[in-house]
Amino acid sequence: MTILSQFSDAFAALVAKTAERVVAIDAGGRQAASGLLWGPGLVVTADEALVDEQRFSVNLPDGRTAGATLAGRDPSTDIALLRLEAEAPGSAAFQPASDTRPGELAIAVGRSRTGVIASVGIVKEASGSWHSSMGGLIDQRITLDLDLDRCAHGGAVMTAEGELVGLAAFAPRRQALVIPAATVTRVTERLAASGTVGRGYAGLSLHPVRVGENRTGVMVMQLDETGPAARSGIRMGDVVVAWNGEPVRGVRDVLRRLGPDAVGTNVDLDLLRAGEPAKADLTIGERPTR
Amino acid sequence: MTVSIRVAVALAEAELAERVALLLAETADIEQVDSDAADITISDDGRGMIEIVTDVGTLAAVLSPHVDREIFTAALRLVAAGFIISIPAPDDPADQTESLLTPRESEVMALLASGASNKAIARELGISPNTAKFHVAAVLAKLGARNRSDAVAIAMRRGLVLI
Repeated sequence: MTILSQFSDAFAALVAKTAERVVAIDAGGRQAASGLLWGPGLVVTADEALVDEQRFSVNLPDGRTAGATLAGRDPSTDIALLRLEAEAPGSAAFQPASDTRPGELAIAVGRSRTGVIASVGIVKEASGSWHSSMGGLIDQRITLDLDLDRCAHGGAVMTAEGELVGLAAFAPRRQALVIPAATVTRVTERLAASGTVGRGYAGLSLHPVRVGENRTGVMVMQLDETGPAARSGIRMGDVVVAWNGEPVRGVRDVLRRLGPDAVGTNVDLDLLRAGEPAKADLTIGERPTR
Repeated sequence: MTVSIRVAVALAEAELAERVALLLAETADIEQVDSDAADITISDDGRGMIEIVTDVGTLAAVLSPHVDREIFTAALRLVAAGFIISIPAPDDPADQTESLLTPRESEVMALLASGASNKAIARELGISPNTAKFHVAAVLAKLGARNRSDAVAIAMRRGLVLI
């Protein structure tokens, strides 16, 4: 046996073992995504991979098909959880990879309607934690130099040791991005318990405006009269120019700061009210859910 | 004589930032400055497209990340001169979204933002689940959203729902 064939066999074995825990998620005849068997009767996948349905058909690794319903979703970290209507095959839990480094081998395993989809590449970037555009805390920024198949969206990204780097997702321009296993573990616990992850809520809507010669801010266009912003004394027409001392460039800046971990925090806002500087001490609330 | 255009680059994605830095290099009349001193801000739309935004926050152009230097710098000069040259992408309808949503759809949007299912929307508005589903589909189509999470994100950015 040559080194090359040993290498190849090792790869195929790793993919086969991983695929025992990877499912295909169908919605109304359209392939939506791949997902991971995650604890008893649960499937975790990328929220962005799901089409807008409440009920899905899941192709299990043992060839059976099972119905599944949405158990919860957190768009801020791009994680969705499905609950299977049939008993899932017993399978070992994923071991999360620790200390992902650039240059490590990364193996993506998904499942299409017809079978297992595998691709290989390396970790391109592995840096510190970051906040998504919707303010969700992602434990590590991991991008891959790997050609991810659309069907593998929401599937597993594994290390050469067979540990789970995280869920396969797409960054802009179809770049492969990983939602780290630590984030998946943390968020799925909350989703399984309550079906939702709260989000920061100020109770206003904002529009970007120019302030003076060369600064920008966001103007309060609508106000929830009983919401956190109104309670802090913010009025319609106020322009928010700084958030905890940092300049506010636009609505996106504010959205990024209203993620789940913003709930209950205090923020010092610098305002312009009728052209005069003013201050507000805002306690971020939680977005009402139903 | 060269007129200096002050441009701030606010790109979250390293790859795109690098590409824009290359495009901006060796231009005599375009100067890169901090965001609070800029006439124009270059940002991204979260889907890999380059956005050129004026100092009053008007989205003045949407460009492909693969744009060549000539078009890119021409776009910056046009925007600096007050032109709006954006062509809305098919999945990103123009900013008149608010007037595009009917009052009923606006109610549906607010409920979507609170995480309501079709069933919950139907109950809340006193309509049938099928009608709710129909309204949700219409909202998604009008916003160019992939799914309801995406619709909520778009609506929040555009000030269509409270944040």
